[in-house]
Amino acid sequence: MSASRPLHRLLAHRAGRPTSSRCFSSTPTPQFPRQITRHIKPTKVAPAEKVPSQIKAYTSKEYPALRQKYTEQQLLGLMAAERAIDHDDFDIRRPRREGDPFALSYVSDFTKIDPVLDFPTPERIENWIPGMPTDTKNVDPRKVRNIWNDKEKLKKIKEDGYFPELGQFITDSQPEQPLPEIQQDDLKYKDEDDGGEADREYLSHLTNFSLDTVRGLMRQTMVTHMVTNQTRMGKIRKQYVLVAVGNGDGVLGIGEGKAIEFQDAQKMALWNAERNIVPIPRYQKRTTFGDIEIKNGAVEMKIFTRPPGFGVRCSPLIFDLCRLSGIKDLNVRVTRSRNPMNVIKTFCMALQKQTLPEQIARARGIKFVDVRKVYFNGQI
Amino acid sequence: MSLVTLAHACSHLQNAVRASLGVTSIPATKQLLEIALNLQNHGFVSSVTRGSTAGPDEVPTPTTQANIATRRLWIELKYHDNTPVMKSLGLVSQPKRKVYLKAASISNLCQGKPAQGISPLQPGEVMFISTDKGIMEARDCAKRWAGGQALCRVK
Repeated sequence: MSASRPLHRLLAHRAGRPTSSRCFSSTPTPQFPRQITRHIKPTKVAPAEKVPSQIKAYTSKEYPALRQKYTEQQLLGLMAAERAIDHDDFDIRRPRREGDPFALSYVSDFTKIDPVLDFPTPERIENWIPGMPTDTKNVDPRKVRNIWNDKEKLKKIKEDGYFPELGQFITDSQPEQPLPEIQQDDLKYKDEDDGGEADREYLSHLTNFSLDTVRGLMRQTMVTHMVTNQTRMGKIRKQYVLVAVGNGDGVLGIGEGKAIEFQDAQKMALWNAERNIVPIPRYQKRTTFGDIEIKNGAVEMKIFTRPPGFGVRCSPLIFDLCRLSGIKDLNVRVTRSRNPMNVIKTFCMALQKQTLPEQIARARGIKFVDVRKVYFNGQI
Repeated sequence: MSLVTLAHACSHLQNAVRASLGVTSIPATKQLLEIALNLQNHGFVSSVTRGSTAGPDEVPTPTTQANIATRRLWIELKYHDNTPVMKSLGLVSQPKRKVYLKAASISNLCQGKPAQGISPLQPGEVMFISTDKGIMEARDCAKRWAGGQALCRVK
């Protein structure tokens, strides 16, 4: 908690809300806490007692009334259903307890061990036949319920190698032998085409950026044009490509490439751009620290910091650079030359040469505080 | 309150930091002394000393009719990471166009909004304003709700 918080706010905050259970934590209590709906307390369920069944059999007076509604065959079916239902089970039914976080999502009788679903019992482990079929998907559990206690049956299964209830044979339970492996690392086969992962690792090593950052780089070809070198042998024409890369979260790099073939130039430019990635300081991860005015050659540029939600209002090339570097609110005016190549280079230079508040504070020997951060307790 | 003297002093200080000088002097006037002390308070310069054209005073010397022509203010300039701490100084009010700011306008400038045709203050930038309570920084003015003549801005 910052000492810069006014006392009345501090008190208002505490007085308004009861102290949370997290009061031992150093985490500040959230300003707008999540509304917690209180669960209804679970009602105490009385232990299941044997109570006389509430369901009574039909009396002789009720049969004529039933006969009026149902045919003879339907009535027979009804009676059979009545007899089939176990009244003991029917009477001890209870609704699921509410607010029980440990409740199972299904109904199960835990007093009985299912031979198929549950963990093996000691007998089962004792009489375990290696290679026993495990596929019990289409098996009636009632048929195999007592198999582990029936020693004769088990003996027969062992001898025959066939499980009649499951309709499956006992498989040969030889453990899988591992294949012989080449022990020397340099003799092992390596897949060279790893999708450029080796390059990325090298790049991560070169640039000191994490592998994840290098992996997440987006790329955009910004400028392409022909360049010519006039020699005494004649003109040598080459393709020029400028590529920008960025991870959309504060990392930007630009690179140039020149080659006879466009693809070669692009590859070269991309590699250079990835080599040149630099961190871009952003205020609140969205805009620049203050306005910047920059002049580079004939390009003059004014960059204005903007409030949240303003968006990026600038020329398309700079917009792309903002997208790649993760700048969300900015206004840029290019006042003199608008040469695309130089505009891109100048903008990158401007982003890098920002003076951060910490630098200013250190240089001037004064304390610099983002009032917004202090007032909102670091939450904005 | 001569804006011309102030303009000359601003230009001189800017030139001095660009030339990476350690100390420099500006004319000893009441206005410049107040501004120099404000600059020191805001950490732009390391020290302000009274002195003469020969250099800073070894012993305190009162300003008299006799020595007034030779009196100077000696200012020690500040550098950090091989760059000057005070990079640019410029006038807001000019002799031909004076700018008087209301308290509300000053408040807006401090909040990063333009006011009365003046661009807002950037982070780390200060503006000195001549008020009836003396020369003050813009943020102090906003705090005390005082208006006045905008003199110069320093970055």
